[in-house]
Amino acid sequence: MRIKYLIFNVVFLLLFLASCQTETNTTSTVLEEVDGKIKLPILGEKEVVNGKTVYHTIPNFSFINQDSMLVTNATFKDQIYVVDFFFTSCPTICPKVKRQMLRLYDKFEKEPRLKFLSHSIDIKYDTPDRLKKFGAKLGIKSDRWHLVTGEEDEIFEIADDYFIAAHHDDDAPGGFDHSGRLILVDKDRMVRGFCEGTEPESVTRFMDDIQMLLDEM
Amino acid sequence: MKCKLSLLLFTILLLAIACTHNPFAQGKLLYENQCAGCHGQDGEGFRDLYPPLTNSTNFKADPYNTACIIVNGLEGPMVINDKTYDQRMFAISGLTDVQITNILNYIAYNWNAEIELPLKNEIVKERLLKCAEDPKVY
Repeated sequence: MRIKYLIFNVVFLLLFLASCQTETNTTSTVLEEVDGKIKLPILGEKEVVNGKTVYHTIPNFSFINQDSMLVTNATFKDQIYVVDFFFTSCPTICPKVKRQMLRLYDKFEKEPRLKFLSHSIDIKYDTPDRLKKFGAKLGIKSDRWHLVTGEEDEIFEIADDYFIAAHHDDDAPGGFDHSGRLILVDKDRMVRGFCEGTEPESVTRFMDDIQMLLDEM
Repeated sequence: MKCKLSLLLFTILLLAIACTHNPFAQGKLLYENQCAGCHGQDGEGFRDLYPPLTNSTNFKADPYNTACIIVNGLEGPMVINDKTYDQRMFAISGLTDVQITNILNYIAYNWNAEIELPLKNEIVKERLLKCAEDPKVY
């Protein structure tokens, strides 16, 4: 009787641990081995065109930042960057995500090859001027962390390319529904990692991913 | 049997300790769900964006006014502890006057020591009636 009970407990514990394992896999990156080196994977659908593998890449974009300067793909030439979507008066997840973005910003303070790109999805309210005030109150420098606005369609479309959901939702507090994910993009415009920007532990793991991508450069 | 009984007693003891340590448990829960995102888990605020609720000159001057800020939101610059904050806060809907009283008491008890406790539900109700017609920020 006692042994049966013990076996049941052990099996239950193993099942429990296994479920934890799959749980963490959704928020941490699974590594790949390429040419004998451990690397972050290239995320997204791949296609084979004329015998060559074509990976998902971030298309051309053009937005305006808090200094009213144009921000394009060229802004991040030979650099990697972390992406998120927010709006300045977001009452729910954004403040949590901004706290975590700031952790990354501080952690990689001396790393010129890493930049940050936050897209506002409330283009009516978040003018470049408002974004500038927001950035100043947050205490960030615009050459390292771009807060951008632009055409609404283009912002929602590029969210899709970063595998982030962002759309209008009158039932959501503030009028927008969006995910709090942070996305890591490499110098070749490919998505290489992500984490949940609302979860400090997920962001801590993400720091290792960022370092790994920097080491690859 | 003995083991089960002692476990039960231990649990009750733990609960009792947990409860005596926080007289405004409902307020804590509501604060953490509704307010902590911006104002911080410990009411510390966030950089110069969101004002702190700890030792807040504004809160101490008139804690009941915060009930109206919660239900109506707030827009425009505001000076708190000699610093200007200018971040739009949306109205928070769906809270009852009792829940708001609990939140105010949690903020007062934990971070604004000079306030005489508890803050009264009747006064919160009165204030909410007065500011019900004021414009809301959404």
